[in-house]
Amino acid sequence: MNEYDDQWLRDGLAAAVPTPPEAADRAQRATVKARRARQVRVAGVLGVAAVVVGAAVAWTVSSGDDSDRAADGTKAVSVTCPEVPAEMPYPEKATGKAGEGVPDGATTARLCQGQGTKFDVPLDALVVGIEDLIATANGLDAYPEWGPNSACNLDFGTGYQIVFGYPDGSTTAVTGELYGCRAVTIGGDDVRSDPETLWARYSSLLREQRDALDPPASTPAADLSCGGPQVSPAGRAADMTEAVYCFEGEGVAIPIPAKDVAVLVADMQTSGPIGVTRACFTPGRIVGQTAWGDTVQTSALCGGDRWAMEDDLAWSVSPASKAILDRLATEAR
Amino acid sequence: MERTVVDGPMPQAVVDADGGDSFDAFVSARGNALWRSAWLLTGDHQLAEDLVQTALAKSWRAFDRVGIDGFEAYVRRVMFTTYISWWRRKWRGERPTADLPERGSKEPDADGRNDLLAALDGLPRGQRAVVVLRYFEDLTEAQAAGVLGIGVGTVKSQCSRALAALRSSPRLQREES
Repeated sequence: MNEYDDQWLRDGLAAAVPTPPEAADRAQRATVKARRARQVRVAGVLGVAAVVVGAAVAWTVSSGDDSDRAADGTKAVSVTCPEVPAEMPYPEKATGKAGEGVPDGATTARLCQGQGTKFDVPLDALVVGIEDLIATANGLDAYPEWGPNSACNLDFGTGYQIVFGYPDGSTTAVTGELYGCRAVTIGGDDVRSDPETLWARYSSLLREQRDALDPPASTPAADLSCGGPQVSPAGRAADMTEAVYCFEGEGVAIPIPAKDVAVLVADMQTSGPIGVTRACFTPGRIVGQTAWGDTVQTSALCGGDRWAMEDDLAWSVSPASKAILDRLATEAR
Repeated sequence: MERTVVDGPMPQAVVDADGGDSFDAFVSARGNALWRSAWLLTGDHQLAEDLVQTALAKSWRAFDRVGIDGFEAYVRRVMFTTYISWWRRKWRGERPTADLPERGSKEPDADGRNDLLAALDGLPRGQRAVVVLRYFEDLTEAQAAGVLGIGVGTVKSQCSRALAALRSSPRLQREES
C-alpha cells in the first residue's frame, strides 16, 4: 500500500464511522457497572479464599466477575513458582523458527524469579488478561538460529519466569532473560526474541488488574533496608505506604513517619517524564513497600530537586517534601 | 471527524461546571470519540457502546490517581487491550436481538465504505486494532505500541500484514484499478 492508499484508508475509516448514539448516562452506567463488578468480585474472592486457604504459597488475587473468568468459565488456578534454574541459559535450541507457543486456555500466570539479577516477585498472580499475555508471548519473533559461532553479550540483568496455570492442573513455563542472549524460551524448546516486551506486558496487565481491585488487607511485614533493594516490576513508588530513607549506599535506614510518607507520596503523584538530567551524584534514596507488598524505591537526581521513579518518571520536590528530606538526611549523616 | 487526542492537555470541555475535573465531565467530553474507535473495532453500535462502557468501568477507579491529563490515554489503552483480550469469548457469541443489526451491506457499494468495513472485518483482532490506532487515531507506531503494550516492531509487522491483507481483499481490488 503506497502513500495514496494510506490516505485512502484514513479517509475511508473516517467516513465509515457513523454518528455516535445519544448516551447521556454513559458515565453513570460505567460507574454502576464498576461498582457491581466490584461487589461480585469481593464475593468471589471470599468464596475462593474459603476453598484454597492454606493451599497457596501466597495469596492469589482472584475475581468472581464474569469478565475475569477463563474462556471455559473456570476460575483461576493456584500456581507456585518453580526453582530458579541453576545454569545461565543459552538459546541453543533456537532453530530460527517459532514453535507452537503457549497453549491457549490458561487461567493464571504467575511471575517468578529466573536465572539472573533478583527482583521483588509480586505476591499476586495475574488472573485477568491471560489471553492477552499469551498472545504477546506467541507474537514474539523467533530467535535467530543458534549455531556453533553464536555468542551473547556477557552483561547482567534480570531473569524471570512466567508460569501459566491451566484448569486441569498443568502448567507451561516461559523463561526470559533481560541480559546476555536476551531470549525467551517457551516450554523449553520454543525460543523467541524480545524478553522486554513480555516482561513489560505482564507488569502492565498486573497493574490493570490491581486498578480494579482493593489491595489485600495485609501483606508480609516489610523488611526495608538500604542494601540494594530488589524492586518489583509492577510496583509504583507513589503507592508506598511505609518507607525508609537512605542517605548513601548501604547506610542506616531511617524510618519515615507515616505523616511524612503521606506528604512525599502526594508529591510523587505529580510525577512527569524524567527527560534529560544532569550527570552528578546526589545522595538520597527512599525504599518503600506498597499495600500490594511490592518493594519500590525512588532516588535523588542530580541536585536533589527531582527524584527518579519507575517508568522513566521523576517527581519534583515541593518545599514541604524538601523539609522532610533535609531532616531525614541530617538524621542519616 | 472528531478523533481522540493522544498527548497534551485535555480539552477545556472536560472541566466541569464547577471548574473541577470529574469523571462525568471527561465521559461527556470524550465518550463519543472513544465510541467511534470502538465502533471501528467492533463494527456494531451496541457492541461499541459495551466496549466503551467496559473500558470506562475498568478505568473509573483510576481517575484520581491518573489525573485528567492522562486519563484519556489510560482509557484508550484499557479499551484496546480489552478488545484484544476478551473479544473472542465475551462478544463473539450470537446474541438474541429484536432489531436487525446495523452492519453495512456485504455487497459492493458505490463509495467503497462497506467494502472497507467488510475487509476490516476479515482482519485478526490485533491487526484491526493497529489499523484503527494508526489510520483512524493517527498515532505513531511508538504511540500505538504504547497503547497495546507491545513492541514497535510488533506494531510494524502487524500493520504490514494488515495492509497486505487489505490490499489483497477482493472487496478492495476495484479501488486499486
